Amino acid sequence: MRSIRMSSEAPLLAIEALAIEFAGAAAPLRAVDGVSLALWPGRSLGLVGESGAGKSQLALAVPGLTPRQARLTGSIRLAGEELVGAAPARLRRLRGARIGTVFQDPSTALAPHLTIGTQLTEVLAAHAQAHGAAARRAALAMLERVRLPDAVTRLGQYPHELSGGLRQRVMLAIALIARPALVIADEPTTALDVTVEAGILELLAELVRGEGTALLLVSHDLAVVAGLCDEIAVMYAGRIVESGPARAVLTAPAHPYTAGLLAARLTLDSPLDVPVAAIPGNPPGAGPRPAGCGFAPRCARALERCRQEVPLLLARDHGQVACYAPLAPAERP
Amino acid sequence: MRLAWPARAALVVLGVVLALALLGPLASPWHAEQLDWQRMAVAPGLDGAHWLGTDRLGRDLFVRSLEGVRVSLAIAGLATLVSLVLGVGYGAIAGYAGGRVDALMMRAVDVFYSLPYVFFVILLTVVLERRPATVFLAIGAVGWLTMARVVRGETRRLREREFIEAAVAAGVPAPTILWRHVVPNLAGPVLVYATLTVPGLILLESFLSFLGLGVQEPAASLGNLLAQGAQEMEAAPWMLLVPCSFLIATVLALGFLGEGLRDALDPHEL
Repeated sequence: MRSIRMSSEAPLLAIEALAIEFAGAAAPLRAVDGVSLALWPGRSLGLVGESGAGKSQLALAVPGLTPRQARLTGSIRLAGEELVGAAPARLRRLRGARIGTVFQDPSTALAPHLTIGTQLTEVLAAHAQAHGAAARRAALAMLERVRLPDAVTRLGQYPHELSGGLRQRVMLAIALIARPALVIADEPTTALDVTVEAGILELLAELVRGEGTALLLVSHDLAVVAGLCDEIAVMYAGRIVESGPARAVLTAPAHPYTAGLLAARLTLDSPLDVPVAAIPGNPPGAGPRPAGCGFAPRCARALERCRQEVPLLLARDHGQVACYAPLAPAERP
Repeated sequence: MRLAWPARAALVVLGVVLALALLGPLASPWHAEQLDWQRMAVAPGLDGAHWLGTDRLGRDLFVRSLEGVRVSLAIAGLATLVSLVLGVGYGAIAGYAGGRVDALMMRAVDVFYSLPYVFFVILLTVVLERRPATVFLAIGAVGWLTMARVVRGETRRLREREFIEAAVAAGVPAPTILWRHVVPNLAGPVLVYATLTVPGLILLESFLSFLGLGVQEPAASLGNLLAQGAQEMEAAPWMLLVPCSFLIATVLALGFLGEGLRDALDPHEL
């Protein structure tokens, strides 16, 4: 990431050596294991990986939404302010106002018993940004920005009166109404129909670019990240295995896991008689993880060293890779 | 919301009892504490001056029973209201706070639960005057405990819901989340539980008054009417049967209504 942005400007979000542990029966479970990343204002970073890779835990740790039994170590800094171990009251003030969060499923993340208008103005009231009629006007303007048709009527409607796509637009409006500097979107289109997915992604891109907002997008869908993000970080078993400019990583992956993810994609012109190039084996479950690289047991290129030492994330042409046997440029698909 | 027929029938019975309790005494020339020296211990009869008879002192049983219904319902209703406010507030805070606060608050409830109740009431009536207010205080002190447990459990379940997490993620302060997001979603189970609490508290009030610990003569409550009726049960069974019928009708109707509400609002457990 530093490779692409050679600026002296400080990052908006700087995560360093972050680990998230849960107490396990025998040994603690490490959902996130020593992750470092940085995100600059106005840029977007896509976190990709399989379920259980720790990407959602990592993203939700930023606004302090990890379950209370989790133990965080390392550092998360937002505009220089340390968030790990920050006072709950301080985190409460940052949530919504400085960090907006878009949840996966708007049908469960919107309060069923409150009108759209109430849920929007509530955020402004929580941060003392606007009350009463002023808040209502701001809510209306926000609904128009997310291009919700018939915005005036929608203010008085309940979530169940809206379709899934419109609900996700409301979710975006709630996340953005207090003008946060950072938006975290956890699988924002996974619960939606494919037909409305593109519209939501386009809108999200437009909203964050227009305001100079930084975006941290969590997704298992490479196509979503490719279309929306400047940079990408691929996670596996709680660690980042490869990161860099999205286009470069996705066209010329260096880590065998990234290459495997790309090869397993189906496109319209995939031949029907050739089986999908699935990565053999399963991602490691919750539990003590083997020594060395988390991906080694499933990796065709694994060396003896891969099973003993954890490879460090090191700079390598376009980005950073954590691998002892990365793909050479010529081998890349 | 659609209620099953027993619940709708119960609603009608309850309406009739309530209307009688509030308006019935106006239709009768007698009032609850008035003695009729000419007609003591008269059996019920539509042709006489007292439709449902009189007690040993010549007081009209129709008017007295309705007075009893009113007093018993008022005490149980008020106590339920208090248990609603206290129980919902206490339970929602404990359930939402979780962790050590929750453990501490619920252990306090356990301690209250384990106090010997009748002993506690006797103590109260000794310390305070034997008035309806004392009975109300005694019942209220206990009524909210179960409500707090029900609400705390529901709140813990609600806290796992994503829209609560979304409100947290938007920076909404905890008191607002409790008041605006948690409490309205408790309405179903709380309403059902409150409806089922009222008959329980009516019976409790009757039990206390029957033992002489509750509402005192000459004031009437269903409990002390039953106590007097029980003394004359062999010679004048109507003195027991009349207030008893009112008690059974009210308690059964409330029970059926609660069951119906539970099925209509919230089919699971409680």
